[in-house]
This record gives sequence, structure tokens and C-alpha cells, in this order.
Amino acid sequence: MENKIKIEIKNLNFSYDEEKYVLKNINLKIYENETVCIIGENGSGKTTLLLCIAGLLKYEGEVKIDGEIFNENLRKKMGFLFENPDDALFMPRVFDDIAFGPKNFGFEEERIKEIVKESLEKVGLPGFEERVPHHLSFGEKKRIALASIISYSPEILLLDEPTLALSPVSKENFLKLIKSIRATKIIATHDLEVAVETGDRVVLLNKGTIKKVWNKSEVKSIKYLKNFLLKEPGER
Amino acid sequence: MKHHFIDDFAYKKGFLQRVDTGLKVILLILLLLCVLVIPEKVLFYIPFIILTFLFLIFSKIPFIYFLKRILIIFPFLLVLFSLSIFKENGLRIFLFSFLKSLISISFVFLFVMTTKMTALSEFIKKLPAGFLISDIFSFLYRYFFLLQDEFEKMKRAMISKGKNPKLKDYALLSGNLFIRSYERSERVLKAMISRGWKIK
Amino acid sequence: MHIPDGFLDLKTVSATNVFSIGFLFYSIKKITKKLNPERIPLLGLSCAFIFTLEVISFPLPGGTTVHLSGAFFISLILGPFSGFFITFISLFVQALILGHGGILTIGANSLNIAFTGCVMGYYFYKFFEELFPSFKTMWIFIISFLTLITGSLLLLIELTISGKILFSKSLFPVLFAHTIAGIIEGIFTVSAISFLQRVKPEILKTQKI
Repeated sequence: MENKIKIEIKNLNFSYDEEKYVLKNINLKIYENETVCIIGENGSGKTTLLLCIAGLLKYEGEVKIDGEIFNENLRKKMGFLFENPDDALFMPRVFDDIAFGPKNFGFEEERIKEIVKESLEKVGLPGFEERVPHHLSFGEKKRIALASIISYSPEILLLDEPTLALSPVSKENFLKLIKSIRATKIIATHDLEVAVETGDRVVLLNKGTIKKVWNKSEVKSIKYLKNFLLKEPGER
Repeated sequence: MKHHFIDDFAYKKGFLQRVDTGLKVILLILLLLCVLVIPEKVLFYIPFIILTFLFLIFSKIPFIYFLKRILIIFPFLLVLFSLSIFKENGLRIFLFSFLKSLISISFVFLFVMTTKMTALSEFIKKLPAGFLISDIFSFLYRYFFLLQDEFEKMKRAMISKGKNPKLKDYALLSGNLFIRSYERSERVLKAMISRGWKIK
Repeated sequence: MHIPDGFLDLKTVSATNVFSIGFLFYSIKKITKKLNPERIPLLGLSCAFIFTLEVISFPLPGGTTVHLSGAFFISLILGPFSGFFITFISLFVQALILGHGGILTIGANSLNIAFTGCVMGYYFYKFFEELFPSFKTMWIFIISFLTLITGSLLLLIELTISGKILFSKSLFPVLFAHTIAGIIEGIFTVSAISFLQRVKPEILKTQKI
């Protein structure tokens, strides 16, 4: 399963202004259908890394997806779930939000209606087409945001803090949902439970550099991760 | 926070709800123009008032709710009232303007309450240069409740810290709200681009 | 102050609408000429912001409330045409869903509020800022104040032409009310702009169209 390299990151550097680097010398290979969890403190560069992979920021270095350097055609292969669903649901109606991606990627009108229906069923909110995003609960918004991405069946899912601010029950359901989608997944989170439960590999990012990479077998429990983080010098 | 969406009644099944949006827009403008030019005789106003009631009944909008919504124009009317009484025959002129105003706003609210905002946005898109207007209109409809909520939360936070907001504080809150809107626009742009959006 | 439908006569309505809607299309042309992708969500969110600002009313000593216009403020950030465009839409939607102002009077209202605030205000500010660059804050205050006064004078003229009021008798009370509103708007604009300058100065460097 884990033979084909899906994403290859080489010497990635990123800075907002010339002096301070948010990401320094990132090297990482991600295999097809693998789930990689990126953990780290606030401001360690998790979101920035995801944005770089998605081609939403200009960076130094190289990110290759299926062997290709970033270009506009690759957008269709990637789905980005933003931390705050209110940023991702910018249309007045749920239908338009989910249809937004497929429309831009040139799907046929008739097919789009079916896709929206299917996507809503997949996230467990059938019949929400005509709803207004502002009226939905946070958990529902999060699911709709996910539906708006899976509507064009991307091969890579970039999930930024997918479980943040969800109630324990919604979190459980949302994780199940994410696990059920077949794709290469990169999850940025500071929830160690998410990392342990979903990650095939766990990457620790600290101040913009990769400190450690664990395989699934090495990450035994949340406690193990927690202890490691507490001991890690310079972490706090 | 609870908000009333004005197009709540658009999802009911009534007479005006079934009429095509474009037709309704034309009808609305024609009716408003009629109200604008009718002479100042009470007789001319009666058909319009009857029409309003008919529309209300057939579109299943509760009368009391409707009345509450149109009362909103009264503060301005009070100002105009106090200005117009200086004029000769001022009271008469005011009363007829008031009647025109009341009928006009009834028609506007009848239109808005029976039209889905998304349908209106679709309609605007077909007008000349409509794509930009309809995009901005959609954003406005999507985010203004959110911004109002954000403003209220910031105000509450300020009050809870023991500061009753004064004019300057309102300016700071508003400045803050603008920064948040600006940053949100950057994130929304990323969300749009990541889903394949390009400028036409 | 937004004029509701019914208080302007046909000739005033026609003249103001021809002017404002004409200017709206001119603005759209200017905006779309060099439209960057980031401009569309920015205009959308700014429009929601202006709408929110005009909806929130805040208390004055003595029990009355006042609401801000923000038209000059937004044109200082986004430029005159973008400012006019989004203020127009905000006014239109206010008339539509809140009943502040009217549909046929949108031309008059956008002339009084959006045109004076955004276009007149912006160019006056640019002119005086270049002439006396060291008094920026003062110019922001004065022009903020003047846009409201100009707006109120236009309002009086429109109502007088429509035969609803006597200009001479209404001048003093309306000017008095707008002097207070103008001072408030001035203080607001100065504080909000200086807040942005302090906290996130790059916002003030946004492209101005």
C-alpha cells in the first residue's frame, strides 16, 4: 500500500517577512492513502505547512505532488478543510457552497446536483441543500465544509484542526467520518488523541522544523506522546 | 445570537412566493412608481391598500408580524413631520407623503418576505455588470449577521471588563471589526482558490 | 438620514437615480478594469462591515442614539469607487430588508451618503493631504465632518424641490443635528484610522480604486 510517493517536500522554507522563518528546511515524503498527523504547539507552523502544500502560499523549495511541481491543475486533487468553517462556507446557501468546487472544476450541471446530494449524505446531513450556513450549529458547519471538499473527490485531504471546538460526541463522529474517506490525508492538530487514533505516522513540528517522525507502531498511547512533549526542551 | 431572517416566509407556499423573481422585481418597481405619481386624493390610495391586504392574505404572511416590521420607518417620519409643519398646508402634504411611504414600504416588504435571497442574487447576476453586484450581495447576506455577532461579543467582553463603551471605544471596536473582516477576507480567498475559483 | 419612499417627487427621484446609478456603473467599470482576485472577498466583507456599522446604533448622553455612516472611513481604505460601490449596495440592502430608506429613493440616499462620503470625501482629503501633509488627522476629522454636512444640505435641497418642506425653516434644525452627528463621525473616523495605523498598518496600504 505505502509504496507510491504522493507528496514529496524538499527543502521547504517559508517566511512572511525576510528575516523570521516560519518553516525551515522541511523534508517529508508522504505515501498514497497514508494519514500523516502533524502535531506541535500553536505557532509551530502546522497551518503554514498545509497552506504551502496546497499551493496557497509562495515558498522557497520544492513540493511535488504525483511527481509534478505545483500548478493550477493540481488544485482539483487537493481539498483543504479550514479551521474555521465560516471561512470555507462563503455562499448564502449550503447547496452553492458544496457546488462551488465542482462548478469551478468543470463538472456538468446535472451531475452537480447529484454530487451535492451524495456529499450531504456522506457527511450525514441529507436534505440540507436549502439551509443557510449561519443557521447551522458549529458541528454541522464543519460537516458541510467537509462536504464542500469531498464533492469533487480530491485525492489529497489537507485538514487543519478538524476537531477543534467540537463537542466530544461530534468529535468522535467527525473522526469516524474522516477515517471513512479514502484519500491521502494530512491532519494538522494539537489534539494528541486525533494523532494517535488516525495517524499512520505522526510528525512533530517545533518552531518551523520537523523534530521527530513516529511510525504507527512507535506511537503507543496519548500518554507516550504527552510525556515526550513535556520532556522536549524548548517546547514551552 | 438570534436573528430574524427576513426571507423566512419565502419558504412557505403562497401566491407571491410562486411568482418568478424577475417578474416580481418589475412588478415592484411599477407599483412603486404608481404610488409615487398618484395625485393627493384619498380615493386613489384605496386600491393600493386593498392590494396590500390581498397580497398579505394570499402569501400567508401574518398581519401583526408585518405591521411590526413596517413600523421601523416611524422615527424618520417623526423628523419629517416636525420639518414639514412649517410649510403652508404642511400637515396635508405630510399625511399624503406618509401614506405613500407606508404603501411603498409595504410593497417592498411583501416582495422581500416572499423572495429567497438566493433567487434575488441569481436574478441580479443576469443584469448588466451583475456578476460583481451579485457576488458582493451574496457575501453581504452571508456575513453581516456574523459580523454583528462578532461586534456584540466584543462589546460584551469590554463591558464584562468593567468598561462602558464610549464613542472612542466604539471606534476601536469598529476598527477591530474591520481588521477581522479584512483577515477573514484573506482566509475566504484561500478557501475560494483552493476550490478552483478564478476571476472571470 | 435615509429618505423613505414617498417623500420625493418624480423629478427628484429621476434625476438622483440617473446620477447615482450612472455613477454606480462607472464605478463598476473602474473596479473591474484592474480586478485582482483578492479584491472580491475584500469588497464583500467590507460591504458586510459597512452594513453592520450602519445598523449598530450607539447611545448618546441624553437617551438618544446615533449610528455611524463609515462611508468616508471605507473610502480611505479601499478608494473612492470601491467605497461608493459597496456603500451603495449596503444602502440598497438596508432599504430592502430593514426598511431604512427606500427603493426609488436609493439614488438620493446614495448621493447624500455614498457619493459625498466616499467620492467627495476621498478627493478632498487627497487634495488637502498633499497640500498640507503634516495635518493628516485634522483633515480626516474636518472632511468627515463636512461630508455629513454636505449630505444633510443635499437632503434638504431634495426635500425642498419635492415640495415637502420649507428650506429656510428646516435649515437650522437639520444642520444642528448633523453638526453633532458630524463631530461624532469625525471622532470615529480619526480614532478608527489611527487604530488601524497602530495595529495593522498594511491595511491602509490596500490598493485604492
